[in-house]
Amino acid sequence: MTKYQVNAYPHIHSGKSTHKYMLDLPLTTYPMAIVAMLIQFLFVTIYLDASFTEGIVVAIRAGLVIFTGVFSCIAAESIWNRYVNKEYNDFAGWFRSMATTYPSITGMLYALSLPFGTPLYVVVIGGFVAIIIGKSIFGGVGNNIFNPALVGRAFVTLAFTSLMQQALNYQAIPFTLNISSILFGINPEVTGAVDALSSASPLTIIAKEGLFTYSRFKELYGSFFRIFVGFYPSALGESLSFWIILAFIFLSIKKTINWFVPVIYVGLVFVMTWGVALLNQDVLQWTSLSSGLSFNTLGIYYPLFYVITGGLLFGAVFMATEPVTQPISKKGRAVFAVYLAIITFVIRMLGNLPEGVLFSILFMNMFTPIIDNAFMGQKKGISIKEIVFWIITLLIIVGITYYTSTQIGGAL
Amino acid sequence: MKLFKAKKGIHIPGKKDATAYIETVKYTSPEFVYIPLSVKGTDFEIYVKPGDYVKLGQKIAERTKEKGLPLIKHASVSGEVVATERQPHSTGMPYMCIKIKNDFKDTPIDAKPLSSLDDRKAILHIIHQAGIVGLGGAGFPTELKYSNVKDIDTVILNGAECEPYITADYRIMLENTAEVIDGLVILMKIVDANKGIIVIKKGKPEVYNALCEEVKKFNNIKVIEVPDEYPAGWEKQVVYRAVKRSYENLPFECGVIVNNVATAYAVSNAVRTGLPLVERVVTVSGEAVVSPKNYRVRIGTPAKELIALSGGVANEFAEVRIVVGGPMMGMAQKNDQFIISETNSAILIFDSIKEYKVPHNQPVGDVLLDVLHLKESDPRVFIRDEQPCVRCGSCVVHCPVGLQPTLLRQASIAKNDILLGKLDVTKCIDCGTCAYVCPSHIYVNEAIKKGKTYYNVKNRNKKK
Repeated sequence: MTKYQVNAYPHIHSGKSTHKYMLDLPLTTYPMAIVAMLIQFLFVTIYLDASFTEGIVVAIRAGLVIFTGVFSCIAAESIWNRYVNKEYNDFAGWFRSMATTYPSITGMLYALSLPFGTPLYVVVIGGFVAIIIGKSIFGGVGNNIFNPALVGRAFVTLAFTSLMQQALNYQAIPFTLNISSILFGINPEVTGAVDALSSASPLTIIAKEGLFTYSRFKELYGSFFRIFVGFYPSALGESLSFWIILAFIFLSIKKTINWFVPVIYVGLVFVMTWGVALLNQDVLQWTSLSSGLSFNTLGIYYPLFYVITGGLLFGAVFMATEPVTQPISKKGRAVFAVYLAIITFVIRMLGNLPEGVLFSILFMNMFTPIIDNAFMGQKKGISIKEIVFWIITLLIIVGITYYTSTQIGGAL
Repeated sequence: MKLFKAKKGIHIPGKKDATAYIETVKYTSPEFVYIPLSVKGTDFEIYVKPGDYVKLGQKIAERTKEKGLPLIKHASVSGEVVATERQPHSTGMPYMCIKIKNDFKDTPIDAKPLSSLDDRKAILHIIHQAGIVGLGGAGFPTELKYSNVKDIDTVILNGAECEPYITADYRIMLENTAEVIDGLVILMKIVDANKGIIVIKKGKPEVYNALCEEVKKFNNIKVIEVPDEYPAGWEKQVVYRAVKRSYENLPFECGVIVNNVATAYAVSNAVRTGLPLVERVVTVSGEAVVSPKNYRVRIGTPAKELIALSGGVANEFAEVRIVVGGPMMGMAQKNDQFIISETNSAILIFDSIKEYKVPHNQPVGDVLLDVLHLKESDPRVFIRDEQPCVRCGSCVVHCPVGLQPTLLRQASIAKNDILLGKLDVTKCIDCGTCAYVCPSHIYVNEAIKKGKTYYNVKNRNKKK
């Protein structure tokens, strides 16, 4: 006797699944961790004159940070689901729970935004904060307001400010497997002259200098190739511009992320910074189009430097496109990206912090429900309200760019 | 700004090959037919009583204007009226039916075809007398559609058939091309339309060629191909693609009338022979059916006989779903004990949906593959593994109306009627695209449907 099942329509399904959708992120970020370790090794051996063994030690330390970051997030999620949600009690249940809450993706993104010398206890604390404060207490996957990886990173930045600054300092950290240094960040005193280039990220140096000319840039970093590949002190994943661009192309083709969110975000920061450069020809001394094409033509090196260094590319491709915390409609996502760019630019140029990506994304996450609210209902062309909104936005962009150009120019 | 517009539709694998190339089978010999009237049954005036002998096409019941939409029902076989009883209908409700015992002779009534097409009233009268309703699925009386309209310049025949599996309209257009065109000409005559358009889907060369060949005789009829997308057969999209006009509620607002090709065929039949609507083409298909086919069946035939005729349900399926209509919008039936009415275009039988369960006592490697759904499995087995919404936005991108299904779902669950109104819940056409594309396997449309009902009830109360 055949039994009959009654269910709601539709009776067929496209076969898409969230697993397949989410699997694209590990596919891009897990190899990225290995590339990050390799780049750390090459950076210290080529540019800091470290020996082969010292290079291996730096790579191991980077690997340990990534490993601890990922596993602290998995541990936090496991503990929460086992003892608070009471979701599982055997291996299959545990694995199912991990496969549907994706702590490893959060953990990997969090770990890649840390510098190589972060003490492991800080990494663990940040991982737990990321999962529990960032996601679980809101009700788990799909209910969080802020990007969990960024919550963890922001907590670590604010709670361990001096430790995190020290973690970037390739001269203060011994290139040996020193347990107390790895676990607790207790490093011997820095002796001798401090080389700014190997102890601070490019954006920190630039924040102190204000506007800089192309010859000064060459003096500091040599060429754009070095910046593009990632041979400078930075967080593990943030400096790998070439890999992030490849990942962006891959994710866009697979339609895992909306390609226009990173493009608008990075593009607008580029345009606004370029505006600042164009308005300060007397300080930057860029050449005009007639005198041949180079990075100095029309001051193009200046915005390029701002876009490639720091966490902008990493944040734009992996953090700003996180589906849960961004608006749901395409128009809303465009607004989200535009204001991310404005806030990042303001924090970087006018604020105290050299990095603006982290806080701009967390800040705009708060506005996601409001943006969703604005684009509710049937979509019918462009309303007058929208046109007024975009005109105001354009005025804000132009105004801030102009104001910043006068402020920075005056500071020097 | 094309980038920020919602897509018009989504491509769904048609799966029409199983029935598209098999000729329609005529099935005239059910032992009993049950002519469905309505749920109440009292709104129809029944002209026959048990024991009467009825001929094929004899008028047996009528609903007048005072009691609802005017409609006339006919005997679909000749034989003896047995009783008036309730039978399950594909809407899920028991319908009052007139049971007729078939004498297998099909003695027809002496019908006279219409002599000339000049009198528009006479055509409308014969359509009304033939009891023709929209055969696409709505079941709205065709006569009403054509009375009280003016300034109609185009009649569109909808042959898009965007739902997968169904090939009933496809077979009609292929086998009865001349009659379909003739029906269109008659419909155009009624409203003095000077243009006729037949809309079919792309990728059906046989039908396109046959229609084009037939259309050559007329200079004001053309065939238009629409993309192979769901819901390309939705009236608004058909009208927009055919004449580039849009309307608010009903197509006659912009001077267009839309009919199904099966309706046009029935109109031609009624006008040329005088015989009423007594049969329709039904597709019996789906993975669980042994031999899928199209059938030309008498209205009121029990579905069970039709399924048995197709070889029944294959043995390896312990639990199946019976769907009447397309797989996207059709109703799942409690069992196979229902009768076929004018609006049923297909009976589809699928394997059951398996709810996902966490595997126990398995080797670790198997668990890993199973949980991630990486194991190679039978493609017919459909595992629904519902997960929380991650706001990926694919429902928003694919919604043909341009709504935000996931926000609608949240508002429906929260029973927030103000929010539902803001999200234009009444504009939802229940196409089911949102649930079809949802990677988290959520029945988005089910929640929205509930929210729509809730919203309508709330608003009705407010008006009072």
